[in-house]
This record gives sequence, C-alpha cells and structure tokens, in this order.
Amino acid sequence: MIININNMKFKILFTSLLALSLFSSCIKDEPLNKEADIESFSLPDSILINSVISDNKVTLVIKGTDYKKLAPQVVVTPGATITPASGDTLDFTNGVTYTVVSEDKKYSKVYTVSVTSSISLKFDFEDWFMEGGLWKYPALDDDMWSSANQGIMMAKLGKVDVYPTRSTEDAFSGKHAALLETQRGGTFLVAGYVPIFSGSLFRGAFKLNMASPPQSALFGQIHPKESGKPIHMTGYYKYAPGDTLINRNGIVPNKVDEFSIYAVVYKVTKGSEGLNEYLNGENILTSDKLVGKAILEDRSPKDKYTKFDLPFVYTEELNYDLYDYKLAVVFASSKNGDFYEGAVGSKLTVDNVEVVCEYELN
Amino acid sequence: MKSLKNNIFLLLFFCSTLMLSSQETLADRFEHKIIAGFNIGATAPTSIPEEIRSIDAWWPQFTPQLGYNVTYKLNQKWGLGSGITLDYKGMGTRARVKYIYTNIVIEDGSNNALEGYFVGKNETTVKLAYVTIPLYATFNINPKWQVRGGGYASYLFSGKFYGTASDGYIRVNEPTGEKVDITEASFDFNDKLRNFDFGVLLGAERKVNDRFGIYGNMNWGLTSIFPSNFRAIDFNMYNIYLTVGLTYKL
Repeated sequence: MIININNMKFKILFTSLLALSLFSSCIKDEPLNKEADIESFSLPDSILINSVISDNKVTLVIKGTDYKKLAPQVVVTPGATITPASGDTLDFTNGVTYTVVSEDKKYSKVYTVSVTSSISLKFDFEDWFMEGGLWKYPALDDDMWSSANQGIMMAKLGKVDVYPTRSTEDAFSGKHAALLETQRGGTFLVAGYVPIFSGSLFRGAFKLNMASPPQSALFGQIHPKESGKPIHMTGYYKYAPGDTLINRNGIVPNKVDEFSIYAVVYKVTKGSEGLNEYLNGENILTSDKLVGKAILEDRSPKDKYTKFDLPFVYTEELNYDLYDYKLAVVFASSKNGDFYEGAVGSKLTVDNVEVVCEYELN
Repeated sequence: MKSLKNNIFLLLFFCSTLMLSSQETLADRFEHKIIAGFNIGATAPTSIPEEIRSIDAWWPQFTPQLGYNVTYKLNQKWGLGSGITLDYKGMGTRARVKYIYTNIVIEDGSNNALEGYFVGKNETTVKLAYVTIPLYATFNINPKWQVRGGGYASYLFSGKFYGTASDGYIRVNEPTGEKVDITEASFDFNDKLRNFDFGVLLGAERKVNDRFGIYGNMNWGLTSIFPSNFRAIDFNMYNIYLTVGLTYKL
C-alpha cells in the first residue's frame, strides 16, 4: 500500500482545512489599563523619611515641620491620571485628597495623604477602624502597623466572623488594647494545609503571598537616625494559651502554645531604595541583616497585665553613614504561627508599648 | 437549520429509493469502514478576546479518533454517512493575559473562589474524550475522491480542563480591588465542562486502493465547552479540530 501524501489535491485540501482551523482573528490591541493605583509617592531624599501607601491612604514622614509647600512626585498606574497633578506644590497641613482615574476612565480611587514629622514610638492601641474595599477587616489607625487580617480575609473571601487581630476593651489603660487570638486555618490551594492562623500585629506591611504565607508579613518601618538608637522596649501584656497545640502533622502532645513579643533592628540599603527592603516571617529572626534584638523570653501564661521591659542587644553598632535601619516590633499569639504551629484560642493582649531610644549627644 | 438539513437528507433518501434498480439489494448500497486518525487543533475562542495578549506556546495531546463509519449510497454521486467514533480532543497552551476575569479557588473543598481580574501567565491543558455520532452527505467527485459535509453530535464521557495562573496578580472583584500576587495558583474546571458538543463537519476522503483510504475532516464545534452560566472563563471556547487518518473498508 502506497499513500502518496504529496498528491497535490490532498495537499491543497489539507492546507485549506488547516487554515480554517486557525483562529478567525489575530491578537487584538492591548486593552487600556483599568487600574488606578498610586504606586509611589515621594519627596526629595533630603526631607523624606518614610512613605507608606495603603489601600486608600498615604502617610509621609518628613524632616522638619513645615508642611505648607510640598511638591510630591507621584507615580500612578501607567496611563492613569491624578489630580492634583504630580509635582504640584500643595499645603499638606490638613492633608490632601488625590483622585486617580484609570487609563480606560472607568475606574477611580481616592487617596488621602497626610504628613507628619515624626515616627511615634509610643503605642497605646486606642484607635482602630475597618479597612478594605468590598470586605473589611480591623486595623489600627496608625498605618505603620499591619496584621495578617487582610490575608485571612482574602483566603476566606470576606467570610470571617471575628478576625484574629482586633481591639479589646480589656485595656491596661485607656479604652482599648490589641487582642491577638489564634484561629483555625484551612486547606488552601498552593499554600496547602494551614492548621492555624495566628493573631499577629507588627510594624510593617502585609502583602499576601499565597504560595508562602509567612512571606506575606513584611516586618519593619524605617527608623531614622533622628529617632535615636532603640535601647528598650516596654509594655504590658496578658497571655492565655489555647488548649491543644497543633501543627501540620496533627496534635503536638505535651506542649503548650507560646506567644512572641520582640523587636529587632536591621540594616537596609541607604536611601529610598532601602524603603522597599524587608525581612519577612521566614527570616525575621535569622537574617544576617539583623543588628539588634529585644526579645521577651518568658513566654508563660499571664492572666493579669504584666509589664515587660526588654533591652535591645546589638551585634553591631548602628552606622548611618553606610546603612539605613528598620525597626520591627512583632506580636503574635502563637510564636510558631509562621511555621503552621499553634493552639486555637491562644490569646495575647498587649497595651501601652513603647520603644525607648537613646539620643546621641555629639 | 438542523431540521432543514434533515429534511434534505430524507428527501434525497426517498428519491434514491424510488430509483433503486431491481437487481441491487439494499445491503449492496452500504459501505462499512473502520477509521483511525488523529485530531489536531485547539479548544479555543473563535475570536481571540483582547484579554489574551499573546499565545506563547501550543502543544498537542495524544488525541486519536477511532471508529466505525457507514455510508449509504443514494446514487452514483451522492450518499449519506454516519457511524460512531471514540474521539479524543485536546491541547495545551501557554498565554500571557491581561485583565482576564477569572476565579481561583484558594481554599480546598470550598466553593468559594477569589474572583477578579487576572494579569499574568496562563497555562491550560485540555483533554476531552467524546463518543461522536456524525451525520453527513457524501459526494463522489470521481472514483478516487469523495467530499462530505454535515454535522456531528458528541457526548463527553471524560474531560479535563486544568492549568495554572502564574507570574502575575489578581485584582479582587474590580480592577481597583485588593491586589493579590499570584506566584502560581492552579485551577481545575474538570467538572464544569458541558457534557455534549454539536458541530459542523466538512471533509474529504481519497481512495488509495480497494481497502484503504485517507481522510481529513474539519470538525468545528458550535457549542461552547463550558455552559453559559460558567463565569470563571468569560468567553466561549469551541472545539476546532482537524482529523487526519486512514480508513479501512470492511
């Protein structure tokens, strides 16, 4: 049997059928951008200390106290427009509202921008609000702080009754304190089985990484030289561990859950580049960028408010000529929460925390 | 449309029966064949939506067609064909997408999915196994060549549609919603597939000798592989496959 594939007629038929099978149209023009984000908000390095952009808020920390004539450079989603325009000189004394409109003109976002001249290192955890768009989660007004609430909201599609990190009226002083409670997790595609969600509260940012949840926590806020060298962290806490410690393998027998309270100082690249460098849940206590640590080692239960006073222990001196530094303050209701271990119901309450700094006299 | 086509078949059938010559038995008018071929093509939108920015790769799956065909000769030129085939259709593609509205199930065993606009890379594998019954008219151009046209009905007895979304992000619900980075997430719409497919068939067969022939059929599905209420993929996808293979006359 000989099949003459080169037969002209068959070839023509084959080619025309193949041509038919190709798509009836080619790649279309790229759709216009639909996003309307402020991607960066900056002032010259000589006056800018820190710039924090969250969902609908920008907080700038600057040197000096004159907010009347600032001309921030704003970068938005490519193609989007912003009013007032980037580079406009504005008075930020009472904050400024910016509106970003997407390139396709169909979507917009409003940001309120406020400026302060100091990074407060005294935290009373009094003021909370519900942050987010369609779904909302509790967050501190002070946007230097973050928690994993946002990630849990996303993982649960907003169907969360009570978030692991929230305010409580059981305060040491004032009306509120921060309450962190470990909750049951779930099994998630990509991340796999996450037995618990630890309550968490930390100075830094949260950017959900579904493949590796511990890397979602970006610890630390810039700690300018003017703030002085952190020497002590003080505050008040209570702790009640949950009943049963579990991890990915099931119940961990004969072990009680423990919390974390610590602060670390680590070095980053000098200048605005360093603002985007972070340690995360996987390397916060092991990175070679660490220069100082203040860790509460007594992790036993405390049913009454108990004071802690932790000295910072340095492995190298701060050198602002070579580096910039970030200060991370971290609280967690299950200390191994980042490694999927904890007890559902473990509760850590913290209030009146302060990082005490020493000013150089020279 | 379909009923019109059926009416034409019936008409042709009756006309030819009237012309049936006395010495020819009914059985002589049937021709039985075993067919074996390959389906090459794509399960794709007929018009590429603007959300698909580039198709970076396409690769075939092992997608044979095996079956039995029967043709009824109406006269020297015309005939009617049908049969039953086991039809595998499938492919893999890698594409770059922008603002494709989709959903990614994050929690296992939950029907809740993160819905929104995805920007990034997409890799999809489609493997569909059908039992197909074609129905078509045949026309003999000359003793060697026959062309055919008609339709087919397929029943999906096993189907897979899965893949990954990676190197990108999803904006939840709206393009201004929360931005979630997706380094790699998988999706699996196996049980969302529609279990039937109707389409158009156009093809030709060339006789090689008394027993063997080669054939090529274009099968163009007119039914989207997902039902219209399926929202995770916002555009219709059709089975567009060319079958090439051998026929063996019994």
